[in-house]
Amino acid sequence: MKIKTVTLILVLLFSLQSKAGVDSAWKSLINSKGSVDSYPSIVENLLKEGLYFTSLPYIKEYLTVHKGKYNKKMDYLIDEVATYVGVKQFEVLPSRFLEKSRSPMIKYILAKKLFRVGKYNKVLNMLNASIPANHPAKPYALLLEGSSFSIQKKYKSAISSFKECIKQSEAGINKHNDKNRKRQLSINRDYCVVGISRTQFADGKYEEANLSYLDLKKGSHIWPEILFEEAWNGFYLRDYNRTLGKLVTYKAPVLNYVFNPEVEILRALTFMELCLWEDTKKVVDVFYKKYQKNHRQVVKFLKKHRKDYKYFYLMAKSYKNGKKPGNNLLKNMVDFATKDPAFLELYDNFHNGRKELEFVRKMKNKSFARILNINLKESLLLHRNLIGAYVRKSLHMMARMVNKTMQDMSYIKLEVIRYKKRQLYQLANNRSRGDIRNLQRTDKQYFWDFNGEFWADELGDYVFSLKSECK
Amino acid sequence: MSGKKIFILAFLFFSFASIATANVSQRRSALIAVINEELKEITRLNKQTRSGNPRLLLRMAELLLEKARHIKEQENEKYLSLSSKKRRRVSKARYFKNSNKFFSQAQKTCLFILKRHKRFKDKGHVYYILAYNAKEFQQHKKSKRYFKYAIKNSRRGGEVNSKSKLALAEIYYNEQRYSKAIPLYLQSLKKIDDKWYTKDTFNLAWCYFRVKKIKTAISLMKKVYAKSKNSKYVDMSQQVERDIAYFYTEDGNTKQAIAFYKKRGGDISKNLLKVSAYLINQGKFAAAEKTLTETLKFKNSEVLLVKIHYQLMNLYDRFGKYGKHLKSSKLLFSYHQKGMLDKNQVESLKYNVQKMAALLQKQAAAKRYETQPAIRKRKAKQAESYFGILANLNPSRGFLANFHAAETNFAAKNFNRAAQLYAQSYNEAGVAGSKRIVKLSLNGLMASLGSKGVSKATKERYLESAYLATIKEEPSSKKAYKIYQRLFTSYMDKKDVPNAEKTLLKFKKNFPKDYKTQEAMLARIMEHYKKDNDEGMIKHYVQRINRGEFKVSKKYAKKLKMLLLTMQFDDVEKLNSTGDKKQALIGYVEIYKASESSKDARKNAAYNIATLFYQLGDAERTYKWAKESLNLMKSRDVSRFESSFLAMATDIFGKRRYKEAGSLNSILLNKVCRRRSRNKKSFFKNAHVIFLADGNLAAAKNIVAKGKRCKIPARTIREGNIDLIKYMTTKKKWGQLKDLIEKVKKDSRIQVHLIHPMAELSDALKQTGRMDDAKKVEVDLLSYYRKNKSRKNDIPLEGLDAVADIKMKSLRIEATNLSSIKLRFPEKLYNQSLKAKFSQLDKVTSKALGILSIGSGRGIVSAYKHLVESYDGLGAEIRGFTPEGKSASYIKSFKKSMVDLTRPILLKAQEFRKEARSQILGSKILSLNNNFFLQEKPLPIPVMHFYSRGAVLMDRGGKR
Repeated sequence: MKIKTVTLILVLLFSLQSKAGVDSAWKSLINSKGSVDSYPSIVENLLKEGLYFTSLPYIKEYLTVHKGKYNKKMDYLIDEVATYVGVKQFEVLPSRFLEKSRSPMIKYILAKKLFRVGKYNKVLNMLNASIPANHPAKPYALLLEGSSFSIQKKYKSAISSFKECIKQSEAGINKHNDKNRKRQLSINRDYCVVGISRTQFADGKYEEANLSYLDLKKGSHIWPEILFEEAWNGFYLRDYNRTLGKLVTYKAPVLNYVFNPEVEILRALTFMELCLWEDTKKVVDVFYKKYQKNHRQVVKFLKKHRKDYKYFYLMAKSYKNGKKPGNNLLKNMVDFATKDPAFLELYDNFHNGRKELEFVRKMKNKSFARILNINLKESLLLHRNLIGAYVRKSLHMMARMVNKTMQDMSYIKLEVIRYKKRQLYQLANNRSRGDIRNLQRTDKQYFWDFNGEFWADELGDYVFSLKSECK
Repeated sequence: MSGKKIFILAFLFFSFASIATANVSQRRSALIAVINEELKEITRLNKQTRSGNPRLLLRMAELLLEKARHIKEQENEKYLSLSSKKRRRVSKARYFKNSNKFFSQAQKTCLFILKRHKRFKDKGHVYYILAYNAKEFQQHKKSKRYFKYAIKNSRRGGEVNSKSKLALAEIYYNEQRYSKAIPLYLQSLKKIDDKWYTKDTFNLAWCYFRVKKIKTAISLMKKVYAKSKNSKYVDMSQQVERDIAYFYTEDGNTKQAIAFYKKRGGDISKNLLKVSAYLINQGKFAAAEKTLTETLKFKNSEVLLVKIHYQLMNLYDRFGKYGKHLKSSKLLFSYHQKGMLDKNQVESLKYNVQKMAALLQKQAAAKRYETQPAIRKRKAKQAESYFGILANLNPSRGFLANFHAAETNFAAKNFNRAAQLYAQSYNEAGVAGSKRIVKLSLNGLMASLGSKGVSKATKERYLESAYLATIKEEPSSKKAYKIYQRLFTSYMDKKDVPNAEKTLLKFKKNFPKDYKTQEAMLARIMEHYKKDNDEGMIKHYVQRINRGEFKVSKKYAKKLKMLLLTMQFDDVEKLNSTGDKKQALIGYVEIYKASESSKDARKNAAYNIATLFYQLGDAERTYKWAKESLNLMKSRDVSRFESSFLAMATDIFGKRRYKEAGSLNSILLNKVCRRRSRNKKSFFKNAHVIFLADGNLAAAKNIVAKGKRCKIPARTIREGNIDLIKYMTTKKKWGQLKDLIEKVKKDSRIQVHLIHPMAELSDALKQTGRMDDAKKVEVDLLSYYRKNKSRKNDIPLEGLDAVADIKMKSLRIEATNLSSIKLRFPEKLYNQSLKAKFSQLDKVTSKALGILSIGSGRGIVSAYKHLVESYDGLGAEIRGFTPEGKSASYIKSFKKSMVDLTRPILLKAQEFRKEARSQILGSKILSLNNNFFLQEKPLPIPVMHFYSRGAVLMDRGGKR
């Protein structure tokens, strides 16, 4: 391990001039003589000085290298560090090292990893009684738990978990003053709120879900994306005009940043359900016009930069600084990704970490400062790459979504064509029913374009009044 | 959104045929526009998925096919709108270029799917498209294959599966493979219930009918009939009405057919007649025939019967059922006789009868039936019946019909009947005044009578008079040319040779230059005489030929002479067997001498002559003819008669004709030299022994030299060489002997036989002063002796004698040396000489013992003699020696001591004498020195014998 080597080489070079925590850490490092047993003490002392990113390499090394009796103090320290730097730094560690720790935060991270690979039973086992009620990770763990239950069709348990999650999140919001922490918890709460709606939707209880969705406040970070879910629910309730109303909200300038091509799919499907064939076709055609060419360029762009995480980080950074890409679709995608709370959290954490650099630079014990500087840089570089990876992953996901949506659009259009063809063949086979002129409609029946104004309080509450053309 | 769902929904099997005329074009254009739109969308999707979704490709293929069909309809419309004149001129391919392009694209797309997505679940759909596409291009085989794949690769009971089965069933139906079509129809009709259900079930009913499941077929027909009333289905009721009666009829259930028609009302027979007429139009002639046959079972008016039989007659004609056709024809003829047929019907009957008569006549004459005489005969008979009807239908030309009937029988090789009919037509034509038919009938009659297989009775009845008449009419015509020959044959068959000869003479008169035929006739006559063994007549004809009365080919003349000779040979054989050897000999000699005799005849004659002379004991002539016959014989023949020849040669030798015997044996050996032969060894031995006996050493050497080449056993050759050596030794042919010894001495088995001749040779060489050569020969012979003795080989006694003689020379020297030592005094000298004497005596003894061990009788006796003489001589010499100048007492004492000293010597001499006697007597040794031991009273002087070699030789050749 690189960190260890550096530590050993420079172990004899130290300065007596430093702060108390740092001094203690230095002493512990000297006394450790290369052993990782003293790392909990070093980390503890570093945290006293607010050196979270700096302490990360010592924690990781302890988790990966240490053998023998595990120091329980480390669990506490991990919790503290994870709360500050985010869980991503730990997620990248292999599970076998993480499993050494009994830290509730690590348990949560492990559960998250299991959730990602679809092992929901194991998620529940991992979370079961492993995170205390007042632990900072508890609200998040409850969201994970509720989601796992919901996927496993254990709807009652799911709703119960979500409700507990809301409660715990609220409590957390009231307890903390930190802006970021508050935002995280409020987002977590809102996801738990829609978790209930989603569970009801999955259970086929569309009416209940419809009401539950109303529990999500319009001011929520996640409301714009959840509006779409409401629209789907309306679709399942065969309330197509309401569906269209919900969807039209996305056309409001304030929600321009929302990137969800599926909105157009739902819109086309709804028109189709109303047998408004030409409207359906128009949605498809407009979609293709808007995205087809841009999508091709985005795909090319993503291929070009492959796994260059630094590039993606810098792109996100420069976007935040006002530099927009020329491709509208890419701009939209980056915009959406950089407004994502997860991104914002990572990004903020990273900038907090940079403050530690200043601290280390001012340390009098230059030897220790050099060691800590190396450690800190490594943590921050990883964090930067994690941000880049997050952006990259988001862009890829959105590009795939566009591609998938385009395909779906084609299928929808094919359905329309099929209908038209059927009509033609029926005419051919049964001429008494009429001729091709029957397929034409009056202008009034033609395309309903929403060109009106948006009022903030009305967002999401529009209802259309289209008549079904189905015979 | 599930693409699959869309495609399953979209997988429509449209019926394009129903797009009607009005507004069709407009609608079609709209459809093509929609298809284009869909195609565009699918293409876009396909690109997005990088052709990774086979369903999209499949849909694309479907759309291309759909589009192609619409365009084809457009093109077809355009094409058909052209005037027929213009249509003929334009290129059809150009008009259908556009649709073909899309068909081809669809095809390529399908093939691409199959190549790229080998595990595509809905491959059946792809094959279905390929199959229909192939069908569109009239590629029926391909289409069938693809339909099979479509069935195999689609879900059982699914739409594609069922449609493919139906399509395949239709293909099998059209190919008339009904048993294959049935299960496919059944499976597909279970799933498909569209408007074509009635039509497909109708086809299925026909399939059942074709596989003889008529009841099922009828049941299905009824079902189709019932469903046809429903407007949902295509109306097939008319077709059912038409065919169901036929099915009933075929089922033998005419009652049901009748019931069916009764239900509908009307005349049953008439309806059945209609059914049959329909069936005939449909080309279902077998069914029509059956229907008509069934109709006959009903009570019908004669008018209807006439109609039925006319139809039947036409059907029988079509099927080649000549028997039935003839029956109908006869029946119709009987109606004609009753005056029931109108003019047209009579003409039709005439036409049919004529046609059939001609057809059958042609068949009877066809090569095809040459190997099937029974069929040919039947056909001829049928044809004759038709000609009979024809003769009755037109009596004034009856002779012509009979003539044709005769011709048919002739062609069918039914010559007896042909002759009869020719004779009939000949007479009738004569009456009618048709010279042509008279002539033709006569020709036919001639031909019939001249053919193989005509009966004797027929020939007897018609032949002679017919021939004679013809010859008389036209004696030198072409026809007469053959008739002479046939007449001649007829006479010869009857053994009427005089008339045959007359015919021959007439032929000769009219066709003087046709020697070949004359010769053939003559040959026939000669054959007759040969069979009768009438040598006189043959001689008579030979003389006539020699006189030039008959001109025959040289070859035949020679053959004739040979015939005569053969007959003579037969006579000789008979004479021989009856014991008239003299006449037999004369006969054989004649055959031998005759220039006409073949080599074989001469050979046999010579051999028989030799045999006869042997039997008569005439050695000289036996040899002469045996030699003659051997010269003519090949080695293969000699092998057959070698025992006889050996007996002859032995007999000749027995008659002391050595030269001839040797020569004959030599010739025999030469003849059988390279062949396997039981007597080859005897010929070899006899030849060289007889030649030696005759003193012909060169010939004997020649024979022995041939031994190896003729594969005579090595032992026999060795014996031959030994004989030669002995002969040469006896005849003192030293040079040749030396050469021969040189040649054979390497053969270890012959060496023992060389010892004596070599000793003789050595002596001869010594006599000529060639001492070195002699010594060398002696050394060789002694070495042969030692070698063979050590090998314990038997050495001939004369050989042992020769060796003993050589050894004896040194014994004699030693004995002479013993006697040459003189006793002298004084005492010291005496003792020295006495010692020398004893020492020499030892040498003599050992040499003598060496000779005794040789085993030669002569040597043994001589050696003992020398021993006895030496011992006795020494004893006597010592006892007799008296020292000079010594006192008597000294002398007395000396003598006494000498007596004591010599006693054992003399005793030993006595012992040797006894041993020699016992050897002579025991071993029966005959030796010149026997008397030395056997003489009771010894002669005062030893007997000496002198003789010259060869003085008592016996002339083994006997009297010369």
